[in-house]
Amino acid sequence: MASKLITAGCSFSDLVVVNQITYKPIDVTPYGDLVAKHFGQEYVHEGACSGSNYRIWRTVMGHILSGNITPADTLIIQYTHTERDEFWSMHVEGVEVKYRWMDRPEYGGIIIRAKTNSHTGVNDKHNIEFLKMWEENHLNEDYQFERFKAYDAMFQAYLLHNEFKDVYFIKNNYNSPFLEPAPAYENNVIDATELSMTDGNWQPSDKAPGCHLSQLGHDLLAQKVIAHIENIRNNKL
Amino acid sequence: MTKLLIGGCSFTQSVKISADKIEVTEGNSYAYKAAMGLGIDTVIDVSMSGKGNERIWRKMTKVIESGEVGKGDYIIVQYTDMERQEFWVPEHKGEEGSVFTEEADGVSGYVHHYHPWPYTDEQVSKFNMNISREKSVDTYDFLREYTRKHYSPDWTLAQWKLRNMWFQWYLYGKGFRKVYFIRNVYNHRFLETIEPFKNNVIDVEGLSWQDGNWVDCPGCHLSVQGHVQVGSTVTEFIKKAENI
Repeated sequence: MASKLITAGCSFSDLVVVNQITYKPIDVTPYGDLVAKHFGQEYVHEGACSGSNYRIWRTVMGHILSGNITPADTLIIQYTHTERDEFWSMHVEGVEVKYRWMDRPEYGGIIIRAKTNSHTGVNDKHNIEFLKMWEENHLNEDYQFERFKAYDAMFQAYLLHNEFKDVYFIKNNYNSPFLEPAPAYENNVIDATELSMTDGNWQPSDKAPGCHLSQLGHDLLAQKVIAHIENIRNNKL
Repeated sequence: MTKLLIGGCSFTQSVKISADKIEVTEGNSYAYKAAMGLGIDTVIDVSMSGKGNERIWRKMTKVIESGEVGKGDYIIVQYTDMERQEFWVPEHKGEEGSVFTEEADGVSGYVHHYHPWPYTDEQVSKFNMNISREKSVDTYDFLREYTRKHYSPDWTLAQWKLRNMWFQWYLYGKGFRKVYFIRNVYNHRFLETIEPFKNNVIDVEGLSWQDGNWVDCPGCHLSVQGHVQVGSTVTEFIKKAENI
């Protein structure tokens, strides 16, 4: 049975890019999928448009605790902006959800992907109001950063002490100021910052340069990740 | 020099609680009694009345990451109600003296510590979010919406289980082995430990319901005598566990 490769991140790692001009979703084959194919691994996709680090931790841990991902598998973590969060809501959105800014019905409701301006990505009036209130009066970068530091330290400790060795971190415009792998993972950082600002960027007119990869960007990043992993496995790093 | 880092809620904080106020009485809690019994030089107590487990993890991790305590030191965790939550608020608008009031927290603003109080409008109104509507309409409305539409016991439990496990592996990974958990009325329904700490649970629930109980909330708060009793129990438990 083939081992697995899981990629967890935000829109940077997702299989859909939203065109920032037309707001139409465009399908891409994400770099994680390409890397998995190269190594003959089964791909597990947990990139999510507007997803938070809390979503990354929750979904990765869900796979681990269910036995779907084991220490024999490969983890690629692409942290995103630290102010993003998740909220459960009893108001289940209809099928027509803009930009997929929430997860499937869970725990009898939905889990909203909260971030700056996320009220524009939901349809239900209660969810819109709640997200507006959160953003206007209860979102603070310093506080969210302090929470991130605590949970990141805890999450990496869990991986280390459960012998997950094949763990890689993507460094990009979302996380470059604060990405801090544990010492055991310090050689496992793949820098995609420059790549995503140049050839790999979605398009020159993208409102958020470096935040979204074109298919070329995913192809180039996949090559970089493959080379990095091979170097690690051959003890060249 | 050996240290003790302890986190918890009002059960653990060195306070005297009465019907209308909370009086901080530094150095009188069971943590200090246990420290004395175990020959511990310094107590770092990050526990605080009304606060939740999110704060316990955040504060304890911050102390550990700062290097104030090392792997030879003691850690005691007293988890509180799983439902408690915290939200950042831009300014201090809570009722004076309320245990739920905001805490200046080293970030630019305050953290409002909040108990979702399921579920009816009557209960919400009675509980009043522990914040005056006149003083802070925004926070009141936000907390009301959170309580009524964004609080799920199942979701909260799932989050708690994950973060509790991470935190314990984090402590283990940092080399802490003298890690103990207080089992009491706040956490007895859900307290779980990872394998390396499975024998490190100190059950004081019975104690806190007897002589050590304070009058207002059975099993929730310790009297002066209760702190002495729990301190003694903790001391004896740890001495036995470590063959001291």
